[in-house]
Parts: sequence; structure tokens; C-alpha cells
Amino acid sequence: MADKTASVNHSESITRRDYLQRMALWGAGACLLPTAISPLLPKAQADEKVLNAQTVLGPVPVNQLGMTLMHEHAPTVDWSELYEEKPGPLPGIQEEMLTNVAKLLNDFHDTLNDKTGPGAIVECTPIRVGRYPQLMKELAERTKVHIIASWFWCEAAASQHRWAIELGYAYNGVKRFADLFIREITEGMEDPLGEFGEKFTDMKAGMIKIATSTFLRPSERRVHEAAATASIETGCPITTHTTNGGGLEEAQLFLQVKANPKRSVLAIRGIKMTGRMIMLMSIIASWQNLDSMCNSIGSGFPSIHRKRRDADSEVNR
Amino acid sequence: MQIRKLIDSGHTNQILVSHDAVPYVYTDYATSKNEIEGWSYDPVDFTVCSTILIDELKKAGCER
Repeated sequence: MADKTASVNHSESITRRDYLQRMALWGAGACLLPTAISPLLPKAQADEKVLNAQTVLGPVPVNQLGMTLMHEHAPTVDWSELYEEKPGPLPGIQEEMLTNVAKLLNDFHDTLNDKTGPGAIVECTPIRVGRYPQLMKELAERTKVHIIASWFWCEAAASQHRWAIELGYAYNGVKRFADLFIREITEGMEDPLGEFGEKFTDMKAGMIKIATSTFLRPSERRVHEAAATASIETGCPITTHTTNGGGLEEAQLFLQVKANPKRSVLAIRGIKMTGRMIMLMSIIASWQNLDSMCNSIGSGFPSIHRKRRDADSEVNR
Repeated sequence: MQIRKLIDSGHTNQILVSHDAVPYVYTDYATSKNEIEGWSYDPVDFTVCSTILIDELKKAGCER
């Protein structure tokens, strides 16, 4: 079940070149910052084994992805099922969606050059929250930008799918969650056109996405443990979304269960530039330096820096 | 600039960026309306990281 080409020895030392190449595994990003920090990017070595990223159109060699935006949503987000409502209708607007979003992605592609293109995005829309694998596939067919889908469920301070809550709390719930992660990674993503779990597509997820709301709540902890299990089993990288805290606990948990930190991305919200919100994602190659990272950037990243007691106080208010 | 602080602290190769942008959101998610009009389109800019951010980093003294 595990992808042998993606296996990594946890104990081996890592060179900068190895680091960058391996973080691109399964679409975790062929490039970091595209040009400003490009001297830190190694030149491709012709004789090196090239690994693949799992896009919605199939595996793509990571050295053919180009600059990869690590956390986007395209084309849709729809929270209806979290509120036990029917999802928004797609017929009648689907064509417009595909046309418009393909243009937006092609605009991104057009900013890149031969060295930084064609470009890719990691599509982080949660399962049953507007994640339509077939729609993503059709979008990918209309743009030069590669699309890497993810599997995701979290509490994230919102109401949640009843099936997900029941699954998490069920006997052997963590394992069952992990099995679902693994199925989406190795066989194909769940098809939202029908009741949950009725059928699956043949489009594979290339990333595991999980999240925290404030601190790492019990239900979120279960999902994190399942994600770690699935990552260890498949080699698929994990990306997280820290809404208003929990990053340090995530790091501690991943270390505890021996998930590979070289394949884990902690997402930190909070940089505003020109009126737009930019998400800074920090790959923690060594979780132990997370504290020093937080200290070095001060209080500008409350989503990862906030201490649990602060979150508790907020919950208790 | 926060990214510059991370770079100065030796974390350059631990930084990834993105927009967390969403072009289409179904805004009537908490109602039973279920109409096409519930879809909201925002022509988000997926190019900020590859253009504006690069310029800002250069201004902040990040050299190639």
C-alpha cells in the first residue's frame, strides 16, 4: 500500500537539496518562494531520481510542477452539508465556474517563467465542503496549473458532519479515520454526489489536510492521530490549518506518534499584504525548533503562538 | 516583515506561502434555499505570492 518511491528514512540527515526535493513529494511543493529566495533552491540533477506528485490528473514529476501554492481552494467552498443542508446547485453555474477559475489560475501561470512554471496548487477544500473531485479534474484540464487535491476534516470552530463526529468517537475510530485517509490516497477520493461513503472516484488525494480550531480538541486529536497513521503508511505529506492556536500541540503530537516532520507543513494564518491575507506555511523540518521560530517572529502569528491557557480562557468566556 | 524575520532567524528553507483564496463560495449554506444565486464569485488573485510578495521581499532586503 505504501508508495515505495516516497519512503524516507526518518533518521537520516538531510541536505538542503534533499530537503527541497522531498518536500515536493506528493505535491508538497516543488518550489518554496519562487524567485526571491531562489538561490537557496538547488539546480536539478539530471541523474537524480525524480519523484511524483499526485495531481487530480495523475502523477506528475515534482520537477515539472513549478512554483506550488500550498493552500488554495478552487473552484468552490460550500459549508451546506455541515449545516445538514443540501449543497449549492452546480448545474447552471458549473461552466461559468470552470471558465472563471481556469482564467484565475492561468493568470498565476502567466506570472511564472520557464524556471518557475508551469505552477501548481494544493487544493485544500475539505471533504463534503465543496470538494468535487470531478470538478477539480475538469478544472485541471482547462488550466496549465497542476491541481493537487487533499483529504480534510477538522473541527475548526464550525459545526461538523454528523458522520465524521460519529466516526471519530466510534470504537476504533482513529483507525477507521486513518483507513478513510488511506483509501482516498491510494484508491480515490469520496464522491460527494450521493450519500457519504456510497461511492468513490478514481482521483487520488495527494495531500492530507487537517486543522485545529483553538487548542487541539479531543476530536481534532483523533483526526491528527489518524492523519499521522495514514502519512506513515502511505508516505503522503500532511498539511495543517491552525485557525486560532494548536500548532505547538500539533508538532508535539506528530513527534509523539513518529510522523515524519519532513513531510509535515504547519499553516499559520496572519500576514496581511496590500489588503490581502497571505497564509504563511512553515515546514518544520525539525519540530524542536518550532519554539525558536515562534520566538523569532514574536507575536505576529497568534494562530501558532497562542498558548493553550489563552485558548481555554477564550472558550470559557 | 514577518517572513524576513524568519529568514534572518535561519528558517529560510522552512517557509512556504499561499493565498488561501476561494473563488466561489456558496453563501446560503445555512438555509434551505438551494438556489444558484447563493453562489458568490470573488475573482481572487492567485498571483500575489508570485508577484507582489517577491517585490516586497526584495524591498525588505531579501536578495537573490
